This record gives sequence, C-alpha cells and structure tokens, in this order.
Amino acid sequence: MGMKEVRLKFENCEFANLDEMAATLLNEANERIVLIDLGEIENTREERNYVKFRLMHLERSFRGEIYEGYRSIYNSLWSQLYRLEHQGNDSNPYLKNLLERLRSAVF
Amino acid sequence: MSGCPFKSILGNQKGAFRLFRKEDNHHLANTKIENNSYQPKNQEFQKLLHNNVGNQIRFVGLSEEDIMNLAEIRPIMERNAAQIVDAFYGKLQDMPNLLTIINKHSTVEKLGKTLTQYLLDMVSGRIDENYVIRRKVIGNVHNRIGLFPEWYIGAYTLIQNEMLHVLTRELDTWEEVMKYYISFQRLCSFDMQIGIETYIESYTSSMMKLNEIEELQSRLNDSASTLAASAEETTSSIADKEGLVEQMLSEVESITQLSKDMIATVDDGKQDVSEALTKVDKVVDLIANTKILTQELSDSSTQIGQVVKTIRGISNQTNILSLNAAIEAARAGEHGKGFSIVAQEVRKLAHQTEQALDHIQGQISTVQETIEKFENSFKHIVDETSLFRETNRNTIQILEASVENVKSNDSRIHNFSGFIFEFKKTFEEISDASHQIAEMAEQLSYLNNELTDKFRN
Repeated sequence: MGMKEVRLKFENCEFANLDEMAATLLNEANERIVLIDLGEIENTREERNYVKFRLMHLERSFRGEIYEGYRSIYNSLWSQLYRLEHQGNDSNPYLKNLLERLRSAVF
Repeated sequence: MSGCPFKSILGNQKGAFRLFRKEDNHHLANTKIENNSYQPKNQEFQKLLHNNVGNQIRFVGLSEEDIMNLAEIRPIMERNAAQIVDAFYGKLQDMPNLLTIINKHSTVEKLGKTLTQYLLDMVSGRIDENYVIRRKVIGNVHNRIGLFPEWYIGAYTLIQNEMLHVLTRELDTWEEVMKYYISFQRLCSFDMQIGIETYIESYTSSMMKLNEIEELQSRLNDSASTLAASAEETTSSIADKEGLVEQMLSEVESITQLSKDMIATVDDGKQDVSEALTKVDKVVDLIANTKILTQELSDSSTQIGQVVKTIRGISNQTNILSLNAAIEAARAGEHGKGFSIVAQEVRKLAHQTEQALDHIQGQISTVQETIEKFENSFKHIVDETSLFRETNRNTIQILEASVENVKSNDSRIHNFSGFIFEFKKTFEEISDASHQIAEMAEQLSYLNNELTDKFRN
C-alpha cells in the first residue's frame, strides 16, 4: 500500500508505523467502550465519537481494508459502537427526523 | 450499565472487553442464552410492544405465543443450526461478489459461527430491548461492509427454507410444522424490519457523510478552541510584554532626562572652572604688576643707598674739615676759641649725620630684604597659580570629554528609544492580529453551531 499517503498521525500523536497506530487507536477505542459500559463514562455522542473517529481514521489509513490481524477487533468495536449508539438512543437529530417520517409513512 | 448484548452473536469475535481486559469477561456473561426450560419474559416483551417497535411487532403479528413456540424448538435448533448454516453458506459459494465482501471483512468460518449464535438467539425466548439492539447492529454492520438489503432479505429466505426443511424432518405433524414455522417466519420478519430500518438509517447517514461531517465539526471545534486559546495566550503574552515595553520606554525617558541634566550640570561646571581660570589670570596680572612696583621700590632703595653713600662721603669730609678747623683753631689760641667751638659743633653734626645715615642704611637693607621676601613669595604664588591653571585646564578637558560622552550616549539612547517604539508598534500589530484571530475563532465556533442547528431543524 502507498505508505506515503498514510498519515501516521492522529490528533496530537504521531506513530512510527501503521501497526503502532492501529494497536494504539484500537486499544483507546476499546478502553473507551469498556468505560462507557462500566458506567464510568456517560454514553453520549461526544464520548462515542471518541471511538468512532478512531475507527474512521483507521479505516481511511487502511484504505478500507483492515489488516487481517486487526479485522476481528475492528469489526467488533464497530458493532459495540453501534450497540452503544442504539442504547444511547440519541442518534443524529436529522436522521431521527427522517426515520420518524419514514415510520409515519409506513405505519 | 446495560451489559453487552453481543455475546450471543459475536461469540466468535474478540469483543471489546475480551481483547484487553480478561478480568472483565464476566460482563459478557449476563446475556448467555437460556436453556430450554423457558421462563416467559412477558414484561420485557410488553415493554417492547409499548415502545417505538410496538407497531412493527403488531404489523408482523408477532406475539408472546410465538416467542414461547420458538423457545420450545430450541433443542431442534441446537441440533440443526450447523446444518442450516452450512446450507446457507453453501449457497453463497455461488455468489462471488458476496464472497468477496465476506473475505474482505471477515471469513466464512467466523460468519458461520455468528449465524449459529444468531439462530440460537431467535429461539432463546428472550425478545427484549437488547434483542432489538442486536438486530439494529446487524443493519449497521451490513451497511458498513456494503452488503445491500436485497442480500439481507435473500438470506432470510434461504434460512426460512432451511428451517422449513428442518421442521418437516424433525416434527411429526404438518400442523406442528406450520405452528413453529409461522412463529419463526414472524420473528424473521420482525428481524428484517428492524435490520432494514437500521440499514436505511445507516445508509442515509453514510450517504450524507454524516460521520465525516461530525468528525469535521469536531475537528473544527477543536481548531476553533485551540485558535481561541492560542490567540488569548498571545494577547495576554503581548499585553505583558507591552507593559514591559512601556516600562522600558519610561526608563529610557528617565535616562534621557538624566543625561540632559548631566550635560547641563557638566556645562555649568565647565563655566565655573572657566570663570575661576579668568579670575586666576587676573591675579597673575596683578602679581605681575605688583612685581614691577616692587622692582621700582628696589631701584628707589638702591638710589637712596647711593644718595646715602654720597651724603656719607660729604659727612666724612665735613668731619675731616671740622677736625682740621679744630686744629687750626687750637693754633690760633685764644683767637681761635670761638672757631674751635664752631668746629666742634660741625663735627657733632657730621657725627649725627653719620648716625642718621647708618639708620637710613639699616632701613634700606630692611626694605630690600622685605622686597626679596616679597619676590620669593610672588614666585611661589606664580608657581602655585600655574599649577592651578594647569589643573583647571585638565578639568575642563575632562568635562568636555564627559559632555561629549554623555552627548554620544544621549544619541544612542535616542536611537534605542526609537527602536523600542518600533518594537511597541510591532507588538500592537501582533496584538491586533491576535484579536482578529480570536474573532475568527469565535466566528468558526459560531458557524459550527449553525451547522449543528441545521442538523437539528
């Protein structure tokens, strides 16, 4: 993969290579989900975005194809994130509005 | 805390807790599938009927009885899940595009395990909020990996067909088959509704790049905050420095004033020394004049000495004459008696003249000695005065050099002062720029809030 296009930087952290970045960001995302599940951190959009932005950054860095070694945890973290989104029940207001209109049209 | 409802469907994948915190595994265990001794969870299902999926449940006709029916066939599912999964993925082998998606994001083996857990979840007898969330996640995941709803619906058709085969084989009567199959079909329909609705929501979100917008917003917010903080810091730092510059300017002004005062003082000093020199010059002139007068006095005394000498000669001759007169008078006898008395008187006068001359001579010597002393004193005064003049001249030179130095320093201070003024001006410009940046940051923040509001309305 074209390494020159990969930004080995996230927020203020710079990484030596893609592996180090992936391990760090996945670990941070995982830790955050754990803390939300433990109730130590509130399940808000801001807190979930902490996880989401890390996963999105990795997706871009891996150009959509996550290395097999990270794939399982990466997929799992997305699923955990979706779960938190549904449990938090405060999705994007615009989407919520659309969904309500869709429901009222169907039922 | 709600716990993780993923254990049942993501058992084959590394969950968030299990990757890094082995000690937290117990959090995953709370949704373990119940065994076939079914305990109705009416309350949980009733709760679902009254929240926003209630309409969907009623629409597909899913009831508590269906859930109980499904729980009853859990043993059948446990025996046959692997077969259903095999048949399902066997069919997928004919769909290269689906296999590409699967292999890109996971493996058939892993998905097989996930599907097995999924099927067992359907016959767990627990259709509650967590069950709905698990279905919603499926919609999200399918959208993320690019698996479109037609494949999702197709998959349910395949699973239902396989389930029908299994039920036909496992059950004795057609009525039983239909009873359980319909319950299974209803739950499949409910799952599909939830999944597809979430898929649509998720697809809309990705189509509108809401995640990216949200990420950009977050970055924008961070940048605006950083910008504002940085501007504030710069402004504050500049304000501090401006204070220092003001202080520096004030100090420089004070130094300039001191320098001017010093020049004035030194000029005054120079003036005083010059005046002192002039006075000394006058004293020297006076001494010179006095010296002339002294010389004249000396000459006069010498002349008096000459006169005294002449008179002394006359007096001596007068004395000799009086002696001769006395001798002649003696010779004349009686006739010369009167003359003898005159001669004696003349002699006395000559003698008195001699005495007076001695006295005058003494006086002249005293005058001459005094003049000599005068001359010595004058000489000493002249020497001292010369020294004094020399010292004063040196002092004037030093003062002049000091004035030059002070003037030179004054000029340097003036230049330095100009430099500080420039410095101050630059600070003011930076301060203005910093204020502008702060305003920009505020505007950025405002625009960001506008964007957020647009989402809400």
